[in-house]
Parts: sequence; structure tokens; C-alpha cells
Amino acid sequence: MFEMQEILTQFAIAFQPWMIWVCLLGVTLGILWGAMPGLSTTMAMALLIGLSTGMTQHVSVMFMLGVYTGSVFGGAISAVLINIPGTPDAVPTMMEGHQLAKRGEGGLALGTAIMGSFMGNWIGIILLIAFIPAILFLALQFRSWEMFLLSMWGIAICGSMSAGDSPIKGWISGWIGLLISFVGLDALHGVPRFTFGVRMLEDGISYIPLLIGLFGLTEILKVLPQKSPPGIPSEVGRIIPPMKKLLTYSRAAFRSGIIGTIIGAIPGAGANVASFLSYDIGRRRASEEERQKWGKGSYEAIVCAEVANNANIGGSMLPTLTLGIPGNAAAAAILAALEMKNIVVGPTIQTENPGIIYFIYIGLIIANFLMYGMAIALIKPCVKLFSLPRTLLMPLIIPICVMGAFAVALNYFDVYLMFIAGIVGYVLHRFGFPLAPMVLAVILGPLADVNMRRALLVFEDDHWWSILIDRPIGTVLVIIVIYTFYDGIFKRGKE
Amino acid sequence: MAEEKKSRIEADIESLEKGIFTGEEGGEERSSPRKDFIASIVVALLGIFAMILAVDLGKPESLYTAPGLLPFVTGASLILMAIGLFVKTKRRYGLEEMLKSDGLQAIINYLGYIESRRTLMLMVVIFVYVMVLGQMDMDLRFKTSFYTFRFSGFELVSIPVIFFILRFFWRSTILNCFLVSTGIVVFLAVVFRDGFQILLPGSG
Repeated sequence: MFEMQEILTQFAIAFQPWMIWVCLLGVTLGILWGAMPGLSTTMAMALLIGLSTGMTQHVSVMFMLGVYTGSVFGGAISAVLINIPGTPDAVPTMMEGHQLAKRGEGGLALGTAIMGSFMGNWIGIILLIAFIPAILFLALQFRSWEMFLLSMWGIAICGSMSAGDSPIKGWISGWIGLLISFVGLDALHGVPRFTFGVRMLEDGISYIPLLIGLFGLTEILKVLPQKSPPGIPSEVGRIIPPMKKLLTYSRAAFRSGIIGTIIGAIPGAGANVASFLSYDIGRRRASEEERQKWGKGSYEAIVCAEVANNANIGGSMLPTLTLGIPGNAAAAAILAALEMKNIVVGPTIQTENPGIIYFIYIGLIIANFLMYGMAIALIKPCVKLFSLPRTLLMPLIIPICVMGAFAVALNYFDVYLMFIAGIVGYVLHRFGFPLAPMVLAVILGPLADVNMRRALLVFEDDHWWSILIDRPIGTVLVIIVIYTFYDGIFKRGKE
Repeated sequence: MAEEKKSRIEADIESLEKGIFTGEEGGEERSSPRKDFIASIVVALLGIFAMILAVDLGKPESLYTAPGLLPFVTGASLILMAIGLFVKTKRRYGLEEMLKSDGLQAIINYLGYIESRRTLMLMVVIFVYVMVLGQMDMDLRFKTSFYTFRFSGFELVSIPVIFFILRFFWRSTILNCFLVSTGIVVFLAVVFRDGFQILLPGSG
């Protein structure tokens, strides 16, 4: 009864006209941002956190959900029309969609992508709603030892998933992030760690400037100096989301939705892995006749990729909300926005912030409907946007990075941190190190540190092996952590 | 860069066609044996440095709650990972390939690429921008009957910096660069300051 009342209250808040407008603004910015080649979803999320600092709790959440939903789809527009993916996860859509656009079927390809995204979001949201209670129940059984192991697994798996066949580089990136997270006063004893006498460092390193530096400034340094001519848009044609056509691919869509959601729930594996994997599985599962079309312009392939990368949104929210472990770098930005508004994510989210989970469900549903409408409305203006060179657009993001980093705590020290993070991110990128594990480790480091020491204290008087066998969930997690490293070193490393 | 064999998009397409897992950020195509060798040394040094700092933190009550415990373990694992990276690169490419160095010539080669020079210049300009803006503390207000116009240190520093970057990279006319830089900085300032009530850097 109480829960029903809570759901209705959140409905009433979410359906206020102002909330719809804010979500629309977020979706619009997200689609435009995602459509621009070189501007990724994570970059949009990281930079627009700054804009959400002046908003109230619910407004800020609604805005960020809108940006997330919009930007994941936006990548498909430039992928189909100018053969440059707006976001990395749109590469499969680009391979198929642009072939169709060259045959004058660009509108239909985009319509398929819109419907696929819409359906993918629905699958992700439904699975999110279905699994949150079970995962929250499980998460409430976790004690310090389990939380420590879960944090370490999060960083390790993120390293493995981000770096492909060189997981060791992903782990190094994560472990460097751990060292960064130790900067500041120790939570148990109040001892300054790694501060080198700098008082500003005693508060620790906030991960929002880090996120802006690593995914904003680093991108600018990567993309702006490159000489790249603007893409020439293909003919759009009429955009009719083909419901009937999509129904013929419903099996592929359903399968891709599940793949996207599961991948989203694994820390470090984002929309990119989801769309690639779903595309690959889709190709293997397609009928002989359909398989001939893959790579030459297949609608089924677009459905597979777009459903998966959008279902990934719901999946990534699952560990973010229940365990406080972001499913990917974009979800880390959502987590940052939530924490900035004093929303404590993790196993106690329901008791500490009653109703916020329902608000997020409703927000995702609203954002999905708005994305559907705005995607159709914005495709033609986007074509005009593509004629603008990157050398004009990228410099304009620099002041947004500075304003975003400063706005979080109104502390200029964060701007210096953002700049350093940008340079470090660029150097790491040049050396082939992924950046997402570092951000994840900075978020999870304090959790791992405090919980490890608490757990060791609890087991102080027992035999050393009791920590490994006395707690069944802990034992399972130990095996999972060991397997993650084993898989990275002995299986994927050899590939 | 010479070492950048193919772009990210090309690498992604190749991996899709072969059905190979490249990871969320798939950075392998940017790497080289020499870079991995340098990285393994730097990471090992970082690990040692972290361990020394961790030991210096002492143990207030018991070893189990020592503030340097996890930092020490992290440093030690970084050293192991550095060794792992070294061994993996050596197995894949051989020691000779890893140690092949052009010395100063490598730096000269790097600077020979226009992209490298542009990147370094961009870094310097952004550094100057961040430093100068950090010293600013100015907020001028011009009250009119309908609106209070404001001009802060943010606009004062951002407009010329963005103008310079646009002029260098976009290469449009002076007037175009001036109009775009002024327009966008003023627009952002108004949106953040008046629309979202967020204080701007350099405005005191």
C-alpha cells in the first residue's frame, strides 16, 4: 500500500510539465551531442553534470536520464548519413545503415534504428524493473568483506572488458585509479594520505572533474588536432519508423535486448561491447538469405545493434542503483549526478531515498518516448549540423569543461584537476590504456579501502582462512575475482 | 603518428568483420612494443613509489586497519602488472623490438608530425587559459531597467582564448572567429549564470 502511494507520488512529480520540458531538453541535447562525430555519450554525460548542479534533485535526475537516452541513439544518425559513427557503439549501425543510405534507403534505415532504440530501451527498462528487487535483496546480505570483493571485482572486470585482448592494461588503469582514490584524509584514522602537504588534497580528489578531464578534455586533445573533412550527408528520404518490418525481426530484437541488458549490468562493458556482441551473434543466428545481406546493408543487423546498445542503458542502471557500482563510464556520470544531489546509491537506496528508484523508472520511460519523437524531428536539422567542421565545434567545448569542473564544488582547484586529468588521459590513450577503469576505481576505491579494513578487523581473532570460507557469498565472490584474473591472464591474454 | 596504424573506426570494423572482441575502448591498435616497454617501467616505478609512501603512513593501532594497507597492496600489484606487461610484450615482439630506440630522433620525429605539434600547442593554450582564469576575480554589472548585464573574468579570458583556438584550427576569417567566440562564451555564461544560477569561474 505504502509502495503504491510512493509510486503514485513519483508519477505526479515526473509528469509535471516542467519535468517533461527538462527531459525533452536533455533528450534533445543528447541526440545532437551523440550525432556529432567525436562527441561520445560519456563526454555528454560528464560535461552536462555541470549544468545539472543548479537543478533540484528530481530535475537533475530527469535531465541526466534524458541526456543518456538521447545520446546513445544520436550516434546512429551520423553513422547512417555520413558514414562516421557519432558514438563508438554506432559502428555496426554505420556499416549497415550507410550502405542502405547510399541506395536511397537512409530514411528507412534511420526509422529502423529509431524503432530498434525504442524497443531496446523498453527491454532494458522492463528487465531493470524486474531484477532490481532481487538484486537489492541480495545486496542487503552483503557485509564489509563482500562489499570489498565486489568493488575489486568491479574494477577488475571493467579493466578486462575495456581493454579487449590486453586486460592487463585495463587493470593497470584501474589500479592507478585506486591510488588516486586514496588521496585525502583516511576515513578510519583521519591520517592524510598521498597529500604531499597540499591542504586542498585533504578532501580527496573529486571524481567529477576527473570524469570531465578524462572524457571531455582528452577527447578534445585527441580529435581537434586531427585534420578531417566534414562528412557529406547522404539523402535522408522519408523517415517512417517501420513497425511491420521490425515485427519480422522481433526475435532478433528480443535476443539483442537481453544481450544489451546483461552486458550493461557488467561493470565496464558498455553500449560498445553490447552492440558489437549482439551484431556478431545476430550474424551467426541470421537465416542464410539474411546473412548474405550483412555488411551490404541489413535491416536486421541495424535492429540487433540498436536494440542492444539502448537496452544497455537499463542494464547499466542495475548495478549502479543497487550496488553503487556503475555499469559503464556513462553510468558513472549518472552516479556522480545522483551523489551530487545527496542520493545515496547502493543496497540502502530504498530506505535512504524512498521513491527515487520509481522516479528513475518513470524518468527512463518518459525519456524513451521523448527520444522516439525527437529522433524523428531532429534528423533533418542534424544533417545541417554535419556540415559544420569539428574544428569549429570542439573549441567551444573547452569552456564547458572548465565551467563544469568548477560548478561542482565552486572550487577552482577542481579545474586544475580536470586539466591534469585531461593530459594524463591523453597520454594513457596514446599508450593504449583504457580510461573507464580508472574512473570506476576512483569511485570504488574508498568503498574497497574502508570495507577491506573493517572485514579484516572482524576476522582478526579467527584463522586466516575463515575469511575465505565462513561467508558463502564472499566465497563465491572470491572465486569470481580469481576467475576474472585467470580469464584475463591465461585466456584472453593469449588470444 | 607513425605508430597509429589505423583509426579506431577502421579497427572496430575489422574486429566486427572477424568477430573478435576488442573491448569497450580497444586500445591495442595504438600501442607499440616500445610504448609498452616504457609503460611497464613507469608503472613499476609508480608501484614502488606508492609502496614507500604507504609504509611511511605507519600503523596507528593494528596492521589490519593501517591506512597504508590497501595502498601498499595496490602498489605491489602494480609492480606485478608491470612485470606482466613487460613479459607479455617481450613474448609477442621480442626484446630487441622493445628496446629499439631512436633516442633524440624519436622526439624529433614526433615533433615532425603536424598533428603532434597541434596537440602540444593546444595543451599549452588550454594550460594558459586555466592558469589565467584561476587568477581572475572580476564581475562588472551594467544595470538597465529590464536586465542586469554582467561581464566577468570568465568572459574576459574565454573570448580571446576561444578566438585564438578557432583562428588556428578553424582557419576562418577574423570576424567569423570573433563573432563565434564571443557569441558562444556569452551564451554559455548567460545559460549557466542566469538560467541555472551557477557561479562562473573568474567571477569572484
